[in-house]
Amino acid sequence: MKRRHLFLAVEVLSPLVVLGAWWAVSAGSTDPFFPSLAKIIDQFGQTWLFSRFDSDVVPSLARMFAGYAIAAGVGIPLGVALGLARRLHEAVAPLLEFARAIPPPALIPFGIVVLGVGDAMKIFIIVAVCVFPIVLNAIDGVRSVDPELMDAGRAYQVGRRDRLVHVVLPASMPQIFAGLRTALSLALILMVISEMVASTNGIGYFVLQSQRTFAITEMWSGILLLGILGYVLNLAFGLVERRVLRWHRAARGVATN
Amino acid sequence: MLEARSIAKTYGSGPSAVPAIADISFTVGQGEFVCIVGPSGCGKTTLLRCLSGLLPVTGGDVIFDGKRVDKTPDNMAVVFQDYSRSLFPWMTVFANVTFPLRRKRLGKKQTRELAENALHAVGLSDSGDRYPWQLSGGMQQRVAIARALAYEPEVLLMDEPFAALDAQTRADLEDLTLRLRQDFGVTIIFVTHDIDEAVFLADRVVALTQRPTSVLEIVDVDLPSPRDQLATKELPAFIKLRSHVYRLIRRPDAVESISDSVADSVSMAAPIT
Amino acid sequence: MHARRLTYQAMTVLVVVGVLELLTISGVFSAKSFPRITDDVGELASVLRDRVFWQGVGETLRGWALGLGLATLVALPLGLLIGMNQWIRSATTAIIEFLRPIPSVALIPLAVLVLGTGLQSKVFLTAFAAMWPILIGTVYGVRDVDPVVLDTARSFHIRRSDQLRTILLPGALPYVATGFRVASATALILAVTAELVIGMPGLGQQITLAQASNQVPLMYGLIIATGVLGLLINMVIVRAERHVLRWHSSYRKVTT
Repeated sequence: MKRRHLFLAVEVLSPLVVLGAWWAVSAGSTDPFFPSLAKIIDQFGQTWLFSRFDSDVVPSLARMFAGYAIAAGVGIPLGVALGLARRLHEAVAPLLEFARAIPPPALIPFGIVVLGVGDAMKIFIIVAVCVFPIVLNAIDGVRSVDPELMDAGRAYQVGRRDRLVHVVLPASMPQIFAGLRTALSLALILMVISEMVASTNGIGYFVLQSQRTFAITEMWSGILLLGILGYVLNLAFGLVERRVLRWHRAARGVATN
Repeated sequence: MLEARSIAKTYGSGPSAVPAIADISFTVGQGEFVCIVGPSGCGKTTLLRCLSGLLPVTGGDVIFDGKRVDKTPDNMAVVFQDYSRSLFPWMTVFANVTFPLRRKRLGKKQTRELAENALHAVGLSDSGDRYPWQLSGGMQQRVAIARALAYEPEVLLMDEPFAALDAQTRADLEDLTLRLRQDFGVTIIFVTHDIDEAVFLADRVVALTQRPTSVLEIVDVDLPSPRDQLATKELPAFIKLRSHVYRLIRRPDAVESISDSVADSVSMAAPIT
Repeated sequence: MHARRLTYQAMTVLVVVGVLELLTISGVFSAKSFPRITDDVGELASVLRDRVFWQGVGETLRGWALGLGLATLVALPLGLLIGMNQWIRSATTAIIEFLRPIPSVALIPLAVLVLGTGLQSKVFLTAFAAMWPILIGTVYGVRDVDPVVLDTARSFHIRRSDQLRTILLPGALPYVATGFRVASATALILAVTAELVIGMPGLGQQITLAQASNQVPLMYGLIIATGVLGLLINMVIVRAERHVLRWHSSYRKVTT
């Protein structure tokens, strides 16, 4: 028992120690590229709370969530449908593989050509890229539903609609969530890249602009914000996943006992 | 009621074909408790899946109530061996039991009654709101049995349902199964590898051969009812029957007919094809 | 069976390409944004003879390989250390959980600032991003090794370093391999991103140039080329993984 508490203490203390060390080491810094942590935090407060919140944070997040939601709304049904229709999936598989292999940033110029440099392009790019992990994972999830569960459904002659909604979908949820998680980090990355390449507002735009105009502390504050954003999004996703998939974690825990 | 007519099942085709079942024939009458035993790997589960319509046969027929079986018939319910994989983990116990009833469209009240009665019959009245993974193995299998009961089947097929449970839980569930058979009047076809269990539960025991499987012998079990875990298993008749089935399964070449000293009504039937 | 599937796939590809072609010819898609597929492929074919193209490919591959290599060099030993030692794991968990979700693209301006616009920036960014899948994979892999096997080894007084070599590393290999595969794809993405955003030489830069100078069919052709490159890299990695794991998965079956 005591050992476990020790481990927990180390786990909580170590990031604090690292932060403290960063603070201390950078305290009197005159290096133009690495301002002190104190100054960065100060700048963070000035910039993001809340002066640039509306002008940059909101549009960034709005674009990202819009793209992500559309990708999920299109990708999950599409993936489930393909997972169920084996022939169709096999036929389309090489196209999917190829589209997936294109590194997402390579699609940004394509987006610019087709949709210009506005919000539509950014949302489109996020959708186009995030759809893939969602679809592929949904397909995987549907195809790997435990055959014993399907047998139970067949033995009791469960109707097709019931089988889909109450057996296939819940059983594929863990895998679908894996796809949603990948898509979330991709959405964040693409939001930033698209803003760095073609935008007049947004967090990514701000960070790059700050670097170009040598507003170093501002740049750092932006990087910090993106880091916090990534962490918070991941955390929030984890909480939702844990709630929705409560049965899955518990069932697997029992099975391995 | 249920008839296996020269059932054959071969997996694959051509030179790599695997004949699992060569020729199995037997009948099950209404209200009977028939146990199917055989050596390991003899295709007992394959047979059960063919009987329940989950697996198509490659030869012969399964006849249920006079009709050929090509998918699971309406009045048949199945209890699978792996309870942790046949109950739906995202549904509560109650939801699991009522799920097959959705298609029968009986209305909320009646469905609820059926489920509650079934859960009560297996001794799980209080567990309706819990999830399968919160229950022990024995309790999960009871849920599976309740699910089958609520379905109001005429025939219950059970595929080594207690194989994954410890001996004491197994004994409890054996008793439960006998009691349910008496209270609900279902016909039961019970696959097991446990010879003691087969003789203890059955009215008749179908002994199978090695692969490719066929019926070695059908043994009538004329032990007094109700069966008791202690009393019945001490009877000389039980011991003789058990030994006989054991020899059939383990050493089929050394089988001799049971002598008359065991007393009446043990008959030989269904010779090896 | 196999041949039939291939036929379906080939037919589907042809149908899709045909439909796209028709959409452009008929004017439904504006020819400026969506030139005919045949034009795109034609541009690609002609660019394949251009030395500049191949130099670009080389640049992208160079950044990818160096970044991936650096990531492996750092993440593999680090992962082993973290996986094997509970203290180190406790100390680093929170830090990793915070650093990992930082989109590596956020560091682009920093990299440019500190390391300039040369190869070092590209390699740094690629390595930073590719590090995490390998690290996580290695930690998982080490932790997943059956403790019974380790206890057995310890009871026979097998040295820790030998345990590492003969039990932990082979046992962790499948997870490490998966992590490496993800890292490889990530590294390619970052390499192209660096070329795109910073303008470093490589395929990403060529695609941007084509777009900026309105050579749209060329742009599409280059995008297709990048996709093909991604596919090829993936195929090589998967094949290598299968080769390595074929030996080890049977090893695993023996130990299980």
